[in-house]
Amino acid sequence: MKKIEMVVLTDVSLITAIVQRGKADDLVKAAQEAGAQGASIHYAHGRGVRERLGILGLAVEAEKEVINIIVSSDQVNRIFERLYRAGEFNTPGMGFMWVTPVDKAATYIPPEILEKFARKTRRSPLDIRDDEL
Amino acid sequence: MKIQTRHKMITAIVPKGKAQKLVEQLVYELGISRVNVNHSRGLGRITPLRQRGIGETTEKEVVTVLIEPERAEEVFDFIFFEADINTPHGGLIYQQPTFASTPFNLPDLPEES
Repeated sequence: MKKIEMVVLTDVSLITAIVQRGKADDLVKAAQEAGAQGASIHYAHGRGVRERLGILGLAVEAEKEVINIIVSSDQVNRIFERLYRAGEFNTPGMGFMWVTPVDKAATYIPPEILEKFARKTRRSPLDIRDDEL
Repeated sequence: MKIQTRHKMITAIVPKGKAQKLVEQLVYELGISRVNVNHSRGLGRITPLRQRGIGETTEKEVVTVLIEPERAEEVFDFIFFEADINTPHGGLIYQQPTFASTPFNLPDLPEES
């Protein structure tokens, strides 16, 4: 019988960012450089005070991209800060983001990574850097 | 207004094409009515398109289930194994707390095909 097991990650958080359409890839790249494993992006339609921003209100895109990134709790501040800078959220109309708690998460984790990192060093597999793979 | 507290939100990001069967299983096998699906694009460190460079994304379906806390673990495990999340490129599942939610009870009528 095939052995099937689930590795549950508990110290994780969800970062959600809403940005203008076309900008999500830059943010995801910044998050990955800061240690994030992956992201999902979907589209949305937003509104706000854009009519008062930019030239004739056209500079702020009404179509939005919503980025969801699951990160380990150790990394959340660092990745949040990198996203803030990459998304230029200090500029009005660029978007906003937030962090929500996650009880637990699970995904496929290659056995060799589990063996190498999670059991020996007690690090979360989400903390593994790209150059360690 | 009937408000339920402390219910759990389970979100599963699965490869495109897996959500329909999963939703049918959740509805007809587990009797869950609060299930939603939306489409997304996603990428991970170990993505099938990784060699082609960063920024390559694949189509995903995101299944969201709102469930009472007593059944959360059962549903979490069910989705994890039935949607093959425990396989390479199988996706990701996570569970979040909610402060308040409303019930969604459907009348006992035949569904539209």
